[in-house]
Amino acid sequence: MKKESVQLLKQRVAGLNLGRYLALVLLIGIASFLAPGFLTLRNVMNLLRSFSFLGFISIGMTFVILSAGLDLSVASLLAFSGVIVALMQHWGIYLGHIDQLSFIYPIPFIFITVLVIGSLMGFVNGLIITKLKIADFAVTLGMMVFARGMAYAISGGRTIFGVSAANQFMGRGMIGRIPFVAFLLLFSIVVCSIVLRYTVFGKNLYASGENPEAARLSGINPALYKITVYTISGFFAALAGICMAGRLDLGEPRVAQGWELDAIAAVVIGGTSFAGGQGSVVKTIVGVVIIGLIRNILSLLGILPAPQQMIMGLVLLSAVILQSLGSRKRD
Amino acid sequence: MAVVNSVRPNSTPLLEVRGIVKNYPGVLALDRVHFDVRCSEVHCLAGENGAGKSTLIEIIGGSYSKDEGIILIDGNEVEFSSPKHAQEMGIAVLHQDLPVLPFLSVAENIFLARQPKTKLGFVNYSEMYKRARRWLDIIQADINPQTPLGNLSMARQQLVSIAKALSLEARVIIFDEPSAVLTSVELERLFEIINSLKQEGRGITYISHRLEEIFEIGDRVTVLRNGRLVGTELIRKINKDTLIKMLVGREIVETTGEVIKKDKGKKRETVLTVKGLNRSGVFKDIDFKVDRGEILGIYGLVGSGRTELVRSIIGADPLDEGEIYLYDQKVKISSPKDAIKLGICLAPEDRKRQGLFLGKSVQENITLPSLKKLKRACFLNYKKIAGYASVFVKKMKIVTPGLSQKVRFLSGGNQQKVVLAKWLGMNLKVFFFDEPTRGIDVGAKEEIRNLIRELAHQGKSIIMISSEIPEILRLSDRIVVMYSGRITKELSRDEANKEKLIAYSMGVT
Repeated sequence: MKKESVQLLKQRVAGLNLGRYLALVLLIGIASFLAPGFLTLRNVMNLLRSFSFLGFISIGMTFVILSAGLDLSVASLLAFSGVIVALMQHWGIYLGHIDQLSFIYPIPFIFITVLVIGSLMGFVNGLIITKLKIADFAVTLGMMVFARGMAYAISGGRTIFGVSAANQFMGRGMIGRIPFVAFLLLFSIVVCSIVLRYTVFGKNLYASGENPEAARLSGINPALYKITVYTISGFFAALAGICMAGRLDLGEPRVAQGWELDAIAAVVIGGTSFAGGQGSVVKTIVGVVIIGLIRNILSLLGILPAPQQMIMGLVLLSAVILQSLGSRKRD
Repeated sequence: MAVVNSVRPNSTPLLEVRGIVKNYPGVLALDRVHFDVRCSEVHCLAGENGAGKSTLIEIIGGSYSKDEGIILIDGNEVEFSSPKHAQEMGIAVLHQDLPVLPFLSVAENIFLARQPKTKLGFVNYSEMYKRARRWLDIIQADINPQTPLGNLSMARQQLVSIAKALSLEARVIIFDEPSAVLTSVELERLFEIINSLKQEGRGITYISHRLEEIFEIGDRVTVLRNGRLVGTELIRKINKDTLIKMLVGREIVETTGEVIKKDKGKKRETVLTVKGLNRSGVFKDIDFKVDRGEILGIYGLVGSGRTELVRSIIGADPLDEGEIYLYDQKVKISSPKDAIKLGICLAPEDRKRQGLFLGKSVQENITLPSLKKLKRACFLNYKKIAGYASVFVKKMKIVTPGLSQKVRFLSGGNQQKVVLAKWLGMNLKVFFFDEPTRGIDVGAKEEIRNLIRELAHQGKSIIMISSEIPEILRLSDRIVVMYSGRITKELSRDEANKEKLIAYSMGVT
């Protein structure tokens, strides 16, 4: 019996995947060595803010991937939400008042509207996937193109300059010396982690992601969970879009190009399984930070964007390979 | 005790392995195992789940590498580098879950990766169909080589695999629990084929959990236990009790004949009634009812619609027509969720694919449907959850190092216990069991049968599908027999016997 419990303990330690935390510490070490200013509070806070936007959509992506799905539309939804949040504060744009702020209605309602629109578009993703039984990949690819197109169409392809102070606060504001978005992200992480671990919803989501048929026979409706996770993903994309518009002080249809792939990469590097049913939001955030740090270090080294991209690709490949080797050993 | 009584002492075995050792992290899967197959013999391989049978045949089939030991073919040492290599050396393994490409035709499956070609290098279909036809004719399988393999029943898919093994000129053919997916009649047909393969001088290895089969088909039997060789014996020199003792290392009396009498006089309350159930092309005009505390057996060949029927009743598959009554109250069940709310559950046929979350812990698997009861306010109470799970681990005698052990690492019998355990704490009324003891070891089978009896004793209504005739005869109060989507006969316990079940399941009226 004693031997068995040692074996169990080993399994549990292996399950923690300490490798990625080690990588994190290593990266921080490298970064502070390369740039002496790296570990200053100011730089750390800046980094925190820059992680947050990707962080939001990666949280949504974690839910989707836990359900064995894939959401390619998040970055487009982010851009689309940024554009509508800006447009709703520039209602006069259609009347010719280009630079004046003119609210369609009070700002809190604007935020709520945008969050609802984002969630609805995610909901539509989920609905088509489950009701018409079309591959997640195909449906969200369509939504990705559609949402980006909508962002261009409603803005006329222009950048909409200037958002209100409240909106700016969402992206740039500080509480004390800590960026507001970082708080918002932390709050989201805590809420989502609790939902995933301590609610029936969370447990049923893991179950229907790992084995939908067994889940169904256990009295769970996997389709409902799938629709919900896409709605959550849409919600977080909209939230990221609002914050991003605040950070940039503009609504811009071209933002976050290719971020859906970064979000997927973050989830994968974090160690959430593509097969569904395994992983966590905290793991994903570790993935987000690793990606962010590598980018940061490469920039500190003065490496240009194109080779940076190449190196990121190699990092992603090696993360996937290491994971596969690791899981093979454990099985 | 490893005395080898060979069939023909002087002939060189077609295949022989000596001193095979295979290590997995933490487990010694095979410990110096010897095994051989001679020509014109059926050498059975037996052992409880986890005894090392599968590992051994995977090594013989070239899928796994061995850590120690040697493999000899016709007395010459060989080292298999891949399953393909083993195939070329004349070894064919017919796996339990046949790996097939369901959308390709029978012929394409047989000639996979070695299709006959035309002069220009394109696939020569007419030649391929012709050759496939020839091999299928040899085993008298009436199968069109052009049908997609997925359209065939499991039994017929197995025939295709045999044809493929013949076409590969396999001299040693290994059957890995073929009976798990076959009904009695199909099995007898398989035995005829095996016997004719034996006459031709091929060596057969036959793996099975069912003792009757070993005694019916085998010439010799090798028993493994916990990765060790218990012994190899000539079948005609041993009896059932000896073999069981070898298998389990402790004495279990298989109480095949014993029947528990029920108090028949009392009129019991009817719990579940179904009327005129219909699903086009699958089953038709199904009526039956189950009383409180009754075990209703459903017997039928694979493909008779029995699994499909119970899946439709609990709402997992659609139902075209028909009415379901619970305590005389008409109910509508459109999903398994509805069924569970009404107190009806199903322990499905394929536990790994439909019953379990293999990557999740014992605790998570057992508690999943009951989580709603294990909350404090909105949040799950892990103390309660662990308490709940451990109650059922103890009750079901699930052998596991802990509640957090992943179900993947449990043996088949313990996995099946987990599947059943999750329904026990939910106060359900009707239990559907689809092949509850398939593919698990003798000891676990007995425990699960006892559990089913106990549930009935507590007043639950049980509907059990089983392909094992002795099991269904022993447990059921009544048996309905299905043939090609219809119930052809209902038999009381006193009327039922093996001959009748077989006859009605083949459509004899």
